[in-house]
Amino acid sequence: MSVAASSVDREAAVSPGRMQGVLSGLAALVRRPNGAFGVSVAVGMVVLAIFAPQIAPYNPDAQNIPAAFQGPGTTHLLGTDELGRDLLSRLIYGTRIELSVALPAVAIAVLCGLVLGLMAGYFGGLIDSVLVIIMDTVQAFPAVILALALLFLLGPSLGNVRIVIAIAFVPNYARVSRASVYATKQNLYIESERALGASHRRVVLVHLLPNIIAPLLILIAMDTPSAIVTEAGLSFLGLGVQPPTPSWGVLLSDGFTNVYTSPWEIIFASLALMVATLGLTMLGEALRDVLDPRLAGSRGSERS
Amino acid sequence: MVVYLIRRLLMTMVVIILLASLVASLVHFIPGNPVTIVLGPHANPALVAQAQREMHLNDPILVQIYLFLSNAVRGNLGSDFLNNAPVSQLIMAALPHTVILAVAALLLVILVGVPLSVYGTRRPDSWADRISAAVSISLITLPPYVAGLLLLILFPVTLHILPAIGAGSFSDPVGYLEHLILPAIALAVGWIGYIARLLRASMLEVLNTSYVRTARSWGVKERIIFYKYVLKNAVIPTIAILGVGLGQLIGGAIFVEVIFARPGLGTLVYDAIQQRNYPVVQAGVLVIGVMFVFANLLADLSYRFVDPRVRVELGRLRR
Amino acid sequence: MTETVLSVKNLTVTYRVAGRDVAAVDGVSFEVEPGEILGVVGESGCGKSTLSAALLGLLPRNGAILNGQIGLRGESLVGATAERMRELRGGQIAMVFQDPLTSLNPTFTIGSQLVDALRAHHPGRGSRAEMREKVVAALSSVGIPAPRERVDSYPHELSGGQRQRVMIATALMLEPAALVADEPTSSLDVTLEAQILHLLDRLRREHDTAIVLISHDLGVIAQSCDRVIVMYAGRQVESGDVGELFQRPRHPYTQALLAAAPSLSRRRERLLSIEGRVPSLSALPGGCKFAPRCSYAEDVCHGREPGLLAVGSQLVRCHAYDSNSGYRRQVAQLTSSREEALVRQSDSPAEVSVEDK
Repeated sequence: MSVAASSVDREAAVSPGRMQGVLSGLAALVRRPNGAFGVSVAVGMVVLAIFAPQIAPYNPDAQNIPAAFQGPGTTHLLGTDELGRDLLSRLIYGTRIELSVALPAVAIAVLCGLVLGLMAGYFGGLIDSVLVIIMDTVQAFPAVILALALLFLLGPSLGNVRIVIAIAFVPNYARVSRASVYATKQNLYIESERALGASHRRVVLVHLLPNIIAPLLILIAMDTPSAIVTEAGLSFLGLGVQPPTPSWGVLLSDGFTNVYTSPWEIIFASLALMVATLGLTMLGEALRDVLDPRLAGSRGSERS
Repeated sequence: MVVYLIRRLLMTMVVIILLASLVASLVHFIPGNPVTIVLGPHANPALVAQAQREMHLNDPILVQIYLFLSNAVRGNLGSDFLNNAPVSQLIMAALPHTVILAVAALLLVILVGVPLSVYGTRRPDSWADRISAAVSISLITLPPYVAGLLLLILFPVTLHILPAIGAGSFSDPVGYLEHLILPAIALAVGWIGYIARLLRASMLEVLNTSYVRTARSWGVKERIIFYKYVLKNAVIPTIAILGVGLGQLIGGAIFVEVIFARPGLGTLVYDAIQQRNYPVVQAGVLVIGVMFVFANLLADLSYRFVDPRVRVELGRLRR
Repeated sequence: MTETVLSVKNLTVTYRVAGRDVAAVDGVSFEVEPGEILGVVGESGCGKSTLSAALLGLLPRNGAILNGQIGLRGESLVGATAERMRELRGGQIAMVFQDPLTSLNPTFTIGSQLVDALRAHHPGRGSRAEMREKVVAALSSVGIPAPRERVDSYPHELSGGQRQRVMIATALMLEPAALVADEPTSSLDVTLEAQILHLLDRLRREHDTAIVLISHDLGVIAQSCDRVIVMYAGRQVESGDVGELFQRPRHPYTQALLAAAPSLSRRRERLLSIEGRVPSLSALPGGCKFAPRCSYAEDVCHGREPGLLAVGSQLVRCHAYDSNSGYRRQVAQLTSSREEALVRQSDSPAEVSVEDK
């Protein structure tokens, strides 16, 4: 028993070898064009979000009606909206809003999904069946409709959007962790015969987590842009973040109201969304290539 | 195979029932009393009590769910709060526009997405391939509302072509089509990119298989190999995704309908949400959910029918 | 004088891996006459599959023929256009692959795939019914039961052995001058193997097809081939008449291969194997490639790669047979006991009973 336990410990420890693995993984990531782009977008967004007050030229809520509906120019780099507010500043603060919705939502989804999937896989039987049916039902709705219905009930707000998005994403993570538990359980029955008994739970966690990290990271990278797009869409419909909070979706909605007067708000908010989506999606794909090349699909010729 | 079909249908039924139950119990999660929403906060308490009894709001939840379901199956989805019109009527009026929109978008996805990826994959790593890949990737970044807004700016607002509002009427098919174009494109764009990339990956995988190598060793023309063998094998897994796509399209339709003011299911639900018209929201969500479930089922079944390995088994069972 | 069907001279095939060119086949030469079966034998990674791909012009995108000549009935295949290669494939030179379970398209019927093959070489000639008849005839000639029904079957409805027979039927139907069979029996059991080999034999007898039979199975080679090439690390280390090779193997590698083959007629305590592993193609040793594993290796072997020399009726690539190479031991010692070489290597006394044959 002590031999088995110590080998398990050795695997679990964050050894210097493991840190090196992480660093070399990062290097491999940045070496790829889509990885480099993705990382720069992600880092850029985080920087903008954290240092928005320092970077943004104007106060995003500062109104200046005489200067409304300006196009890009020298005083306002990207122009102004219907209340004369600087678009660039609103976009920059918008980054903050997007990340503050998307990241916690995904985090919540990951945590809940992991726990639920673990429970389903570990206990099996009725709990498992019930969970599967619930997850299937949640996934039976298009995410938007689900979100709509829930926001209708809960009332539109930034916090509620977070919750709603988290709920929509939970089934993904529940599935992944459940499948992982089952896979590990297969291996475990051999060892359990050697009376590992009490270590069951521990070994599941310790063997499970390393296997699950790769697909999990990839899912997270792919879900974050998805969460941003969903939130922007809901806010556009007026069911999410409420104006004047400058979510990109709110900017789109304001722009829509005034589309015949000035197209700039829509154009720049769209650009922001597109770049963010593209960058984060590419980051997800680059991660997938680095962590599990098998999933990447075949390519013509190998060039490195 | 038949057993599988039956099980699948049963599962679908279960999901739909659960869906409907959730929707039916929506009522109880609304903050406040649904009756006071209709009658106003200062309504006569006796009237409120009577309305509550009529709407069965005091009955146990299971009874309410059962009532809702049995009514729904018979086509009675209640009356809306504003005009007391039968909700089913409202839905039937709005549904065709949404379905037509979704189908049009799906057609666009197939008619544009497939050639786009074929064009690039035929010449791997060439400029054509790179351009095709770049286009696909950029299209993916366009959710329906962004695409819709940008199209709105470009065509009706700036260039003054194509209408920006409404769906037109069925009596004027050309006009109806004119009203359909921009919304359908907006809805399709994101999926075109996604399908193009998916198909490309699938085709590349098939190009590397043993049986393609066999065909090549027989001297079969590369063109035939590509358009006959590769395409057929690569499309099969894509069909299943398209089915899910149809469901997603139905979900995304709401944005497009709002932007272009199309009178479909999406705007119906959207307006109802704004007006707190909960029977309409209930019914709308239910109908959309059911359509989504059936789209998924259709996709799953069609996938299994197209794959000859399964089809033959089904045939055998019939003998 | 019969015209040689397939003539390969000094063929070198490289792959581009991680920016470098690695030779998977290096300096291989042979000729195959009509109706002759040439065996190619060697362990995994010796370049057999690359050779077959090169012959058919089916190298992957990062592969290229660096050097050498391939002649099919006098026509040079190296440098032929892609379209010309396509015309030749199937009709002039065809291939049978190793794994019949994946070699046929699962979403099309057998019949439609074979008709496609026919059409590729007889475009427009013959109606669908005629083509179908030809396919049925081909299927029946390889012994597939109920060929008329089978034509409309999907590949997964046939067993592995039947699918392999379909592959050979296609070759029969197209009547190529040369056929490359890459491990055609490796995934089949012994009875099926015999049937497939019998079919190949029919091909060469009835159609004068020149066959290159690639296998790692010495039994198959011994049974079916007229001549044989032994490959190691992309090089031809010994070649010649098959009977002579099995009776008097010259090259140490050939000797080791033959001795290591398990046999029912000899009783041994242990299965012998050749010590060491096949070198990675990107990290080949200098000098003779087999030297690190050869129990007869001397300094000259590690220093310089031997050339291909005629020894009796065979060609051998080994310094031991080159009187000018500086190799010191007596050649006679090499051919006397094959097992001895292996026993010496494994360094422990094994009970070996050398059968008198």
